[in-house]
Amino acid sequence: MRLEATSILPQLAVILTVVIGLCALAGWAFGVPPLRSVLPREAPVEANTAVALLLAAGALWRHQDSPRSTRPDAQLMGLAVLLLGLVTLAQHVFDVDLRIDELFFRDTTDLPGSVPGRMSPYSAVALMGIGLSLTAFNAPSLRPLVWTAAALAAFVGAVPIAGYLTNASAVLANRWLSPVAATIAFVLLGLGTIVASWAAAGRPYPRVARSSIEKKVLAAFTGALLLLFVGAGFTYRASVDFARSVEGIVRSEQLRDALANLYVVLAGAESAQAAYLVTSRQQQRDEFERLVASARTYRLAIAAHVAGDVTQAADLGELDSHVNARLALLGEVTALYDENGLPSAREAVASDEGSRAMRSILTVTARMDARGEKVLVERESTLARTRQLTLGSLLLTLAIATGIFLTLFRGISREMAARALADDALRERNREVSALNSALAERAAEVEAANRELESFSYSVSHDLRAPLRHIDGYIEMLRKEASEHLPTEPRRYLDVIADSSRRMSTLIDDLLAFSRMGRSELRVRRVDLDALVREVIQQLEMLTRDRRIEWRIGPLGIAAGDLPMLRQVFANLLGNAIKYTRPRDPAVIEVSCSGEEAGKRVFFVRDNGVGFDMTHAAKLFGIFQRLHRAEEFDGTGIGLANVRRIIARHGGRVWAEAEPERGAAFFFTLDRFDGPDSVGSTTGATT
Amino acid sequence: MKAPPRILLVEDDARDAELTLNVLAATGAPPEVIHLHDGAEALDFLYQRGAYAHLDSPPPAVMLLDLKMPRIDGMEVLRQVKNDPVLKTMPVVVLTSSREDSDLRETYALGANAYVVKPVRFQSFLEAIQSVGAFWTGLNEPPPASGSGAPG
Repeated sequence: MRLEATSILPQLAVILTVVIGLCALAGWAFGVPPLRSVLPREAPVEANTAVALLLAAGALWRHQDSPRSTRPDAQLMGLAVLLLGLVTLAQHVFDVDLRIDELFFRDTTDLPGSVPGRMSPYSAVALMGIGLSLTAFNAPSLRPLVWTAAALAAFVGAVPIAGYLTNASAVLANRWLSPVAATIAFVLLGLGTIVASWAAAGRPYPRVARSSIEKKVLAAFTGALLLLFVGAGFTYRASVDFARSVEGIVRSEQLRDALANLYVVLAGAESAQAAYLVTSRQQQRDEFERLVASARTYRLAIAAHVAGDVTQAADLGELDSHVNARLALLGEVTALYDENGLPSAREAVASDEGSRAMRSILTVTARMDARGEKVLVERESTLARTRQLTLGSLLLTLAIATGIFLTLFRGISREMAARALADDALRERNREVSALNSALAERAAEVEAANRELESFSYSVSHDLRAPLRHIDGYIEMLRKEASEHLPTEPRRYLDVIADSSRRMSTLIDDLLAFSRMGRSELRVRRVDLDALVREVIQQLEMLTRDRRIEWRIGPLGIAAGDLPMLRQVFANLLGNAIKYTRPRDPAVIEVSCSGEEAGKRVFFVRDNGVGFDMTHAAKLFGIFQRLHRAEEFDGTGIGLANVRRIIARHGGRVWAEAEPERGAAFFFTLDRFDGPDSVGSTTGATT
Repeated sequence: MKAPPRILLVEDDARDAELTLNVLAATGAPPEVIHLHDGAEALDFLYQRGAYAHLDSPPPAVMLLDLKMPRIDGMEVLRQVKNDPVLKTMPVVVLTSSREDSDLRETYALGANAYVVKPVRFQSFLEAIQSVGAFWTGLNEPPPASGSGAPG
């Protein structure tokens, strides 16, 4: 377990959620209500919610443990949570029972206003958010969606918590909200997921995918949709409450009407009876009967309106007894009148039993009416509140949706602007590239022209420098022929020196021209048998080795890819040098071999035990006309090694030297292996 | 007695010309060498015009032609000679300091009969010129002269 700051919150969320989930499950399994509902009178954490919380905790644990790698098990757990939330919400919205609520335990708590075992719709929404964020956790491009969904879950959890702190009783009675333990878990899981995802985003992912505008749109739309779901649920609930309040108000008003009317019709019945007793008219008698029936009706209506209301039940009983007593008395008087005539009836009327009952009725109805009025006022204020709440939730939903769409629009327009800018930059870059290309082409043409100029220059050199040399040699020859015998020894030696100098100059010019030609001539790479080539070169150098004792050590060189005449030149120069600079040695030891590989190329070397040189001058070694020894000691034009370097460079290799004065020198160079078909054939022996 | 074979030497460099003449004169049977100094002179001589208008002589056995010359260069002389129905039978040996591939290709394309690079070392130069002279004036059978041949 790592102890990074960013991993503490996710780990805390995991641990606490597991504790909450396990407690709730234990509460269900062993029938211990306090484990399922932390607060008294509160709805319990349902078994489904507890299982979903454990799954979500498991998924978050797996994700935060290794945020870089995809965790299919964690994604599956997240998906299960998402589905559970989705299905439960669907049950709420469509008012269906898919029989998943009591999958694990039977719910016997039987709270009013809730389906046994079914979590609240807000729990379902929160679980959807958490499930979605944990499912999409590993896709870097869906990160905004992960954050939005997790934030939603945390929000759904945080709102009831705020409610508990301010108005606990109202929230506790609300069956739409989640129980307190679950809300804590939602907040923790939501924040934990956001932090874990954020931490994962901060780490270098193997594939850094820039979230495309499509993904952003999808994430924003999903977030907006989820919010609209919540808002719509809230609005629906508010309108249900509204309708219920209206119904309650109507009922309260009907109750008050019935209470008022009951007394009125009873009083009317009394008057009608009195009139009947005095006039004996059937009309009065009928009126009396009608009013008595009406009183009975109102009494029944009152009973119906206060049904289930415990506060009114006692008064209703009292009212019943008084009304029954009054009605019975009225019935008695009428019966007396019908049997015994007016005097006995008058006696009955005169007793104050009837007026007492009427007073009692008045008192009880007044009490009940006052209570009904209070309920009415309450219901009216509830109505006003729910209306405000409905409006508020609608406005909030609209505002959030508008905000999301505005943000989305801004994001899209910014993205489009950025793309337009990128396009411009790309076009600009393309223009630059083509400008550079044309500049390059110009430069190439210039180089080409310079090369041609150089060519014509070297042509002139070859042509014009040779003529004077030829003349010097020719005239000296003619002079010798004419005057040799007349000349003393010294002047004759002078002539020899002049002739020798002109020949050296001629060699110089030839070497220079060869060097220049070599740089221009086409490179024809093919299979070269280096062993055969070295044997051939040594044979060609026989003139120089004739009177020398040289121990040749030729290692297996194998096959290389190169231009045969050029490689022949390389070996001729290197072996020629080795022979030349080992002149003071007897025997001279010259070694030609392969010393391994460097950067995929084979390294060859020519080593001698000659006079060597000081490595401080090594940088000059491969320059044209650079010599490390005086011409009187060792002849040469100083162009051989320049040629070697040029040839090896044209083959894509490099050349370097190691030496020590009087201890010999070694020249190294690299050449490619031959990878082409063998059918090119070994032509190293052929001369050109 | 048969007249010595005639060699036409077209060479702007006086020293090269002197060396060549010297070498040719040193042979057993020295040929008659006519030395001309540039391409314009060579063409005047061959077409018998200008300074050579009154000249009436058979064509030479061989022309030794330098390439780099003032006024009209060797390449131009070669082109005109090899495009002339009569003169084109005359052997032309290009004698030059250049060993450039382009020169070799061009002269042979124009119809040169041989290409000799002037050696720097006198000994080699001598051997080369003498062999050229000996071959073209001795061994080689010249083309039959059209029109008036050499008088007996």
